[in-house]
Amino acid sequence: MQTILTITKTILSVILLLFFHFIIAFFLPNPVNTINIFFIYFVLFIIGWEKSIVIWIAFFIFYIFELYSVVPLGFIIVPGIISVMTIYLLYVNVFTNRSWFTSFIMVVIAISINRLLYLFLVYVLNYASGISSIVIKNFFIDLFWELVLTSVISSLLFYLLSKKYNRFSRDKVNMIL
Amino acid sequence: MKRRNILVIFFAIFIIILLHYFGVTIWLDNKIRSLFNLSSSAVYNISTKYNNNLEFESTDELKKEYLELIEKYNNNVVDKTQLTLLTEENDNLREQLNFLDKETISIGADVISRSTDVLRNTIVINRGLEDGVLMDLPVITGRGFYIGKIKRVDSNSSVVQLISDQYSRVASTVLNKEKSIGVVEGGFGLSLQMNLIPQNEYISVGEDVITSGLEENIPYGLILGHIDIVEKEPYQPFQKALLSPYVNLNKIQTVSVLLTL
Repeated sequence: MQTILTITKTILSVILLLFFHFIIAFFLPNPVNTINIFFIYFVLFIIGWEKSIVIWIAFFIFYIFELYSVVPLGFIIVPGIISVMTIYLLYVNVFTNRSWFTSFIMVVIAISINRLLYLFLVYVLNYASGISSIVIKNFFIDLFWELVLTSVISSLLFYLLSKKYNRFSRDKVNMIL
Repeated sequence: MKRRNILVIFFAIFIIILLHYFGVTIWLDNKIRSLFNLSSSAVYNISTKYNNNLEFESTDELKKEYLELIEKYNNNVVDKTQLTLLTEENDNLREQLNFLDKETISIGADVISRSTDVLRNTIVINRGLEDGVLMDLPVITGRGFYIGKIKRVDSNSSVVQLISDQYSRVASTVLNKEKSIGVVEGGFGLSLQMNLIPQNEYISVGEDVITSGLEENIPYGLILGHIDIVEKEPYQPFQKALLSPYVNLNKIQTVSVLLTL
């Protein structure tokens, strides 16, 4: 029963996240539409629940993106999973505190790993296919806005959640002690 | 997290890539796509309607735009009359010469989603293999505005690589006296760049650029845009031009895929 409930919750989370992603991407003007709702969710989920199921949620989301992509399979899912796994492991093993700053840093690390790894894979593919160069100026402009807006919103949401829910406000070190 | 869990996840990714490569996951992929096509097309359609509102900063600007449109309309009426006469003349001449032309048919499609990947500029349409869509077929909007080509086909949907995508290259011709040829490339934001135009040919701002027909599957005469800026350096073997497409590529709702018989 517990497993069915977890699977249902995971599927619902994926559907809702994609729906909100479409709304942000299609409705909001640039650069506000660069806000990455997935990484906000992943970071807040890791801080709030510390469960590794977040990696499976990320797996399904990035897999759906692969289905609409023109890049070879794996170019979206691999950087996505590695970035989420990195922040999960960092939070569990390295970070010692729950704060807006933790949320901020985690978003910055996750998005940077995801985007730069993707760019690296694209470069490898281009090199293998003999394509000389690609224009990446817009990539870095968008990355800048994505980092700034997503991390600020994530920190703000963390702050609001910590005021309302105990789960987000408990200090990690005190909890262990 | 245990090391075993990490291994399980990477093993799952590997298995999925492998199954996908051998086509085992096609059925599941199509089911997932059809589920998400519904939601993404609903959101996309509402967003294009919502974002299509025209905005003018002042009444003077509106008046100016209105007068320009009237002038364009009057010119178009004259052009249309001349075009009708020339089309009739052309048909008669072709008939007399028993000219064998490739018949081109098209299928209409709705845009259901747009890429959010910064490095790529693509849209998703609701037609796929089952409708006869194949790789590299040209996609147009309106009555002949070339917008891109098919770069991924699934059973009920396809992904169109737009001309503004940085991997897009299309053989093109300027509608000038010399009919200068070149290659139109994407990757310049809303603009396009036409390269490899011979240095000794004269091109000017405002001239239209169309597909040259030198590329397989892409017929001659599909409109790409008009020239905004000409970049001519005396020491370079070729000149460049920056183009503006006539169509706003971010707000396309319906397209046609050209199937050449």
